[in-house]
Amino acid sequence: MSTSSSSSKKIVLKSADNETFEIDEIVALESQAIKNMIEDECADNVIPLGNIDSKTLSKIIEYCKKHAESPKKDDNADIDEKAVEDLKSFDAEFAKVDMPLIQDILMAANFLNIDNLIGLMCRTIADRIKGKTPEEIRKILNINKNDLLSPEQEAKAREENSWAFD
Amino acid sequence: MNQSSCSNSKQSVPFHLNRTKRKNHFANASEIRDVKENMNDTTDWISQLPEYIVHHILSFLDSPLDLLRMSVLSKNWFALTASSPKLDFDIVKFTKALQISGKPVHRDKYVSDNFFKYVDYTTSRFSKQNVSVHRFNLATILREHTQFAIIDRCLGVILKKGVHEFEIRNILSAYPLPMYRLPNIVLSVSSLTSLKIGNCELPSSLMVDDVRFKSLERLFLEKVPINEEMIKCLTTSCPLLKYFTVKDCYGFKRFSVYGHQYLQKVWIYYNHTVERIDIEAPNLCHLLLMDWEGEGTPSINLASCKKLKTLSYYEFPSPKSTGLANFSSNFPFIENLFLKLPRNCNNVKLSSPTLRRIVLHSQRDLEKFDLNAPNLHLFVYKDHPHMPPPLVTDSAQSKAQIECHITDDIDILWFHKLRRFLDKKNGFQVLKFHITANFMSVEDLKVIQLPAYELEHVELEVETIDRIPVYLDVVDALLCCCRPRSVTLRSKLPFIIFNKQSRVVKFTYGKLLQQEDQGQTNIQIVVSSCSSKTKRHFSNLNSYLTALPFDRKGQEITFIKE
Repeated sequence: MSTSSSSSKKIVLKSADNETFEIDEIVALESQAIKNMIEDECADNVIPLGNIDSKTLSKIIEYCKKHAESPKKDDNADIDEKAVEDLKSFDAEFAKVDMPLIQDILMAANFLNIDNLIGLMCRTIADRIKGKTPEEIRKILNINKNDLLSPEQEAKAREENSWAFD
Repeated sequence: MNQSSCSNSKQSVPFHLNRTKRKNHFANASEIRDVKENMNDTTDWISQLPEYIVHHILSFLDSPLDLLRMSVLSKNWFALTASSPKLDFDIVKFTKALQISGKPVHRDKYVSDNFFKYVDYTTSRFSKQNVSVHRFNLATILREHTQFAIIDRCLGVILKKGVHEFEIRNILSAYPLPMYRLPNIVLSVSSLTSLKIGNCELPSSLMVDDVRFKSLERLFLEKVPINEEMIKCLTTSCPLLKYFTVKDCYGFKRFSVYGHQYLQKVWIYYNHTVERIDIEAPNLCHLLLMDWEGEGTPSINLASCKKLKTLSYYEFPSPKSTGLANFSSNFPFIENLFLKLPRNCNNVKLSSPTLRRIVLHSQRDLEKFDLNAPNLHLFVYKDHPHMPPPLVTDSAQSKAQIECHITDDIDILWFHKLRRFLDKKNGFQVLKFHITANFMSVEDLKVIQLPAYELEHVELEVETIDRIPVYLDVVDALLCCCRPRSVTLRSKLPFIIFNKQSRVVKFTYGKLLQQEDQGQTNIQIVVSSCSSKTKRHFSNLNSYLTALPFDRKGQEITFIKE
């Protein structure tokens, strides 16, 4: 798909719908899973990601690019505050997506083992649940009627800490 | 891979596997897609995720209100909330949750009863799970005897299952109830990596039982009654201990740790007399001593700690102590020193051949500080008593530098004292002067009689002075005090450098020129914008003045003598 003229090492990722993405190795290394593969020298020229569609994959690459080019937090005492702020606002913007896409990103991030992205998606989900009533949360999380606790179980659970429910 | 660190990380299972399995991880990707395709849109997909991810989500919900509401969503969520490995029982957070739900939080008994009911309920649900606790926190006020039993029961369950990080730091007993004593079972929890105890008594069997803290790296004790034997017993029972803090504990006069291989940081805060501190730990690198009451210097023996390069000493030396006379024999390897002098201290004399960086917090005048440190690289003086930032370690800077951060109003006399301090042969070449206070102008009082001190570079950053005449007085005072090769002016108030810029520049230029008797000196002016990092060079004052005005914010102006 996209080609870059720089001489750094490239990695090609192939999505479930057979779209290929050529990215700098440094960007791909944000994924611990790909990093392990490269270190073990078991990465082929093209890494097929049969479970990630191109929409999700391009979103993930966008995230990895941004994080790969930002200075890392560890060891560096003189961390650039502006860069940290910049990354924060990038993350906040990045997370403004609907729940189905959050689902796809979270599952893919888990598969690729991108720690920061898993954390970001988990926090996003938690933020959408915070302060809501059980009824509202059930809607957000698509909870099926068949999965509910039995009326007796639920009544008992609510009664134990009634202050949180009335 | 170490099992305990593994449960901490959010790594998913496949990545611990060997090469072949890692490769299969990708080859099997389609299976995962199938799982997803089997879920239709009405599935609660989150609860289908690996448990550690669900717990990760729950870990961001730190209000009991949200957690309780999550628990009744569905069968899945009922189980998932019960097994969350992070248990946080904090009465402050709990009260806030009650408040949000409009409950009468002013009634102590109502809050307390509901809190302990919540602790009991959550613990009993957790007890049925086959998992260990990653992080446990309890902070509360005990108001009734029955509540002691609830905590005992809770800790019994939690500790039996194994805990990595255990914190029970703020646990206060309402009068006349006794202090809470930790159950003996704590001592047998070998999975602990971090243990923070405050305001409670250590287990009664500490000196009798086998203590099994074989993974413990952090130990923090606050307001805990502890004697010398207990300190010895605890440190010898924690072979991997790295960080040890003893804060406002009482019952010991000596603090002794012997032959500890892993210990890196020891922080001791005390408000009673400590007579002796003996530490024998080859990897100790930071020691912090906070003498709240100014009880005087303990006799210190750290000679074997060859890596001990950083020392933070608060409220020291007190008038009762012998001062810093024995500094270099007590601390023969210290390179970084943070010192906060007490209000009522006498003159301080410090001499050390190893010191590279000093941060001094003191409301006393600089000239009361007599320094002899031939290898000093950085000296930072701050006049405000707030907790300091960590020691600056800028290894790149090559010239010996003194920084003054001033928050109290100063006058020309202050500069006179600075001038006398500069004379004390510490070889400073760069002076950075940062002022967030006012300058009291004293007319016609030329108190600085010494010739201006020669420096390579001076930087002046002013945040609070908004009147040009006062600003010019500061520049004047600074240039009476020293004679630099170059000067940089910076201000957070844009208009000083901005609208009235030419007046400031003319004044400074004139003062700098006056310092050079021959009159042969040319002064270059460099205007740089902090935001865009662009610089404009002017070979002299005239070329600068003709180029005016510039409309860039956040400028700084540098004068360079040639």
